[in-house]
Amino acid sequence: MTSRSLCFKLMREDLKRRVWTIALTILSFLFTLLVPAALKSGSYLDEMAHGNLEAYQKIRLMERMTEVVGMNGVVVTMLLVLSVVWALSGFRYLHNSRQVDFYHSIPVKRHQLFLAQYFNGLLVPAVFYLIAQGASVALILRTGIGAEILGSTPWRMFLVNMVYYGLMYTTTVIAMMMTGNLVVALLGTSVFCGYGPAVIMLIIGYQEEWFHTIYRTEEQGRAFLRAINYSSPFANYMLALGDFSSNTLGARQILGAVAATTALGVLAYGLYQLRPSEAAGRAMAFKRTRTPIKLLIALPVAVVFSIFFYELRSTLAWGIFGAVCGSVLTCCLMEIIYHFDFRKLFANWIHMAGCCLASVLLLLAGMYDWYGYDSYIPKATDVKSAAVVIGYTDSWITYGKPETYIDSQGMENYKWGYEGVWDYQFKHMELTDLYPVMELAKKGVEEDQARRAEKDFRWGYGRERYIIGFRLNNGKTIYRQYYLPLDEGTLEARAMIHDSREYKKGVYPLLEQMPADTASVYFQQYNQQYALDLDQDEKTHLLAVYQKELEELTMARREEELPVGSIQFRTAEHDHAITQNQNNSNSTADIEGRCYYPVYPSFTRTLEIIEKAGVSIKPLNSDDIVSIDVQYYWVGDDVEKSREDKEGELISYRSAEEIEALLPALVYRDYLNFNEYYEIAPAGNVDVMVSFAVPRVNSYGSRSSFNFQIDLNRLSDEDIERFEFYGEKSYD
Amino acid sequence: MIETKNLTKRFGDIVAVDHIDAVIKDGSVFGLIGTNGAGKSTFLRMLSGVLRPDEGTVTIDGKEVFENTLIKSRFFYISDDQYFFNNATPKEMMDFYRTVYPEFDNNRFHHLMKSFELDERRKINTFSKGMKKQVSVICGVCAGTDYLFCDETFDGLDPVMRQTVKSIFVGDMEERNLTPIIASHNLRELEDICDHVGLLHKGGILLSRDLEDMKLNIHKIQCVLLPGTEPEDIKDLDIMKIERRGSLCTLTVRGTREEIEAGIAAYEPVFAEIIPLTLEEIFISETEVAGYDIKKLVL
Repeated sequence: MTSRSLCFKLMREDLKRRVWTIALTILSFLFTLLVPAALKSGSYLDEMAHGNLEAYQKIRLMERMTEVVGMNGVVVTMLLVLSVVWALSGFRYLHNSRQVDFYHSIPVKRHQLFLAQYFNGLLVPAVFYLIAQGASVALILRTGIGAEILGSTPWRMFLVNMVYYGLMYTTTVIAMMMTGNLVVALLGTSVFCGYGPAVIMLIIGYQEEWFHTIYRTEEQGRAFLRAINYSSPFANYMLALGDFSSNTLGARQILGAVAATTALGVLAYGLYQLRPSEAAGRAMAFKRTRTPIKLLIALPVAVVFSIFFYELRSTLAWGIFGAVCGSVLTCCLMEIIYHFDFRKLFANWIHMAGCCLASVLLLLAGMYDWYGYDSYIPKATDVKSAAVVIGYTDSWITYGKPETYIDSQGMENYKWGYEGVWDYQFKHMELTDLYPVMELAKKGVEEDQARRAEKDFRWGYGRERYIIGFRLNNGKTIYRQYYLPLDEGTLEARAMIHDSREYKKGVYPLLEQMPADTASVYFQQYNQQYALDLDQDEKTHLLAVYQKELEELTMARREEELPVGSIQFRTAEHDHAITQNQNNSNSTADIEGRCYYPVYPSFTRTLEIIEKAGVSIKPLNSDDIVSIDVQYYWVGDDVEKSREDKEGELISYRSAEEIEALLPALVYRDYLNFNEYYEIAPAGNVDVMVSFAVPRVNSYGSRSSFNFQIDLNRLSDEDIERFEFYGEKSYD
Repeated sequence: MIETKNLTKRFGDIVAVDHIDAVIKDGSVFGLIGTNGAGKSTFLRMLSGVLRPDEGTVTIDGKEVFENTLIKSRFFYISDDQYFFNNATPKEMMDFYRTVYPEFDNNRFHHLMKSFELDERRKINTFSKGMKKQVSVICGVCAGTDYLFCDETFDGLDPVMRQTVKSIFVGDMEERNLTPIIASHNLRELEDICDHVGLLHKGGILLSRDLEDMKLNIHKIQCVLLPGTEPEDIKDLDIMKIERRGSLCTLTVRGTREEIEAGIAAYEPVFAEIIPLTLEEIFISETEVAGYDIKKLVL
């Protein structure tokens, strides 16, 4: 008898033994594919026959129907279950010594047995899935919606699902090979699916807990996410489904999953050959794997426990308790599982002690920064340049550019393609004056050491975050972040960094814009948008002037001034995106209102050109205002009684006298957002809306009312009392 | 011929089979005797290629057994708790065995099932323990293999069935030179079928002899000696054991029948008769000589 024909005979014989698995598979596909397809196609036909459906209703019904053979979560769940069931039912004989004696004494080579069982578990569900998918597609097509609407989705979905079914199935087969008990095999499958992501999350958690100055770039964050997605077959399946839904699933990922399945299949085959028959009934088939697996599970658990208990009381003793507790509990549990005997919980106290020691060392290393991570500052001579992100300064800037997408109607539209704020700044900022940067870093290290000594829980309170990227001469970039108190030293260094041209180049993308790229210029004041009537030379000139004034903007000036308006230099690409969306009757607000920059009163040359272009820049005038609507809130029991009179009320101040009285204290919120360094003394118990006589028109449409704040510094004490504002003036 | 050299198997700290050297000749019945835990099943599982030896080799006609399908097709292994597929009938088991044993004799299977009054289409899990054993044996002899490894196969069979099975074995041995290797903890089960017996104890083989050799070389004499003559006075015989009941003495003596008859005749006994020894008695005598109490080992 040839090896191949024997293999097929064994496959046939195996299927006779697994009738229940086949029945379960058929029922699963029947109820997750065929029945829903029949129900939804029937419902669609009924609706079409009786109803006068709108186009969107028809589309929705079609989508629901096609989802059955496309991205169907129930089918995915069922396939996950089936992958485990087929693997368990195929190789469960390995966990029973009677069955092992039977199968391994017959004149069949073990690899033939393995191949027969393994391929049955792959091919049979695939065949039934294919039949069910085909029949479901046929049911849907009988509604007359046309094959072009379904497209290749059902078959691509079939391929993706089967590839990942294979990966999950093979993973479970490996768990079966490595164990001698069904429950332990299930636990093993869970470990294979969850261990990688859990350990990566733990690494992140450990770093977050103990590396106080750690900063991850968005790329590094993505790398961790990628690692999570590729460290588990389950996570990878979910990633593939997500990518399938968003039409970004590539052949490379599918081929990667096929390659992983093949590699795991070869591993399973090798394990089968090596697996001793006497392993049936034991927890672990290979004695050598017991210790590594135990320690690989116990150590992370101990680290989690140590962090958890440390977090409860922030003392070393509790941290050590957690580490020891986690080690002992996990080692004991593993020993009980290994021996199937509760009394064996201390069977290997050396491993337990080793695990305790290792986890305590990891705790101490983190607590006392034995790694030297937080105290590390590169030598100034090793640093080529640096980049510094100052707190949440200039959070109004939008990074990125318009990018196209295809909408549900198949039209090409534009949306804003965001670029990471800090990634942009680290990429574009090259500070060569390292003195203030090093000062901030030194201060950060000192502060961190003080924090470790004092165990200060309220870290970050009253402090500002500084993220520093040191670009080293050897090409590496080292990132650290510090939370620094805003004392004289910090403020001085901050101002030095802020005032430098390199900093601004790294923060404001507009400074990178070339004059020739500027297609149109818009100016806004109190939300009223003006298109500046300028020829190309004037636009180029205005851009150059504005760029220079923006570069020269100092921290000191920002502390004194609020913008008087904002300016937008649109590129041709930006204009085209807006026009394209308008032509497709799509909203333009998302891209039209972006990239406005503040114009400060000290930008005199810029303001001059704007005014020459026909825009009258005037301060807020009582003639423009119809009313100032003030919503009063409850601000606490400690506020004197008189403040409670207007509590909960919305009062509309409309008289000229009232408007004139409040006018000097009105601060436009959008302008405050442009400048975080301008301090006001806000009235804490009110929200203020100002209604203009003439609606303001800009990219977001036409509106009359806008948010303002009340600056108590600009009101007399009498007026504060009169209007019942609550808060403290910051100066007299 | 099956040969094991230095065959060893350990389960953790336990040495289940400890450096066993044994030879099982074709065409004879090899009995493997030992208490529970003596290593009989482990020995048979290694013989059948289920377990991989830690040390030593198992060969059939000089070829390794483990993962050798050609060699494995020459034997059929019946474990002490034989596995049958869930809800399978004897016929379904036959269908499976036909797939892997090309020489499987269908007609004989049907015939034997009928002879044993077993219903081929009844689920095996509804059979009694003895009936299951019968199905195993029938499958085993019908597989047409040269060797049949039986682990406690006779345990659970009633005396009639036991004799029937033994007669089938004898028939097959005559017809096609079948070599059954039978492991049992009960000497009496093997007494009338084995040609060669190996005694396993604590993983090691205590003795391995041809039963005929043992029977030819050890005899029991019942005699009444002349007054004044004591059995201890008989110096010419290798007396292993003396039992007295009045004037009747029962002597267990090593030597050939002729030597013993001549030796006892020299003392002109009043009465002397050589009587047959049971396998149990032979073992008792042999193991006692070796310093073991056989009653503690296998009885």
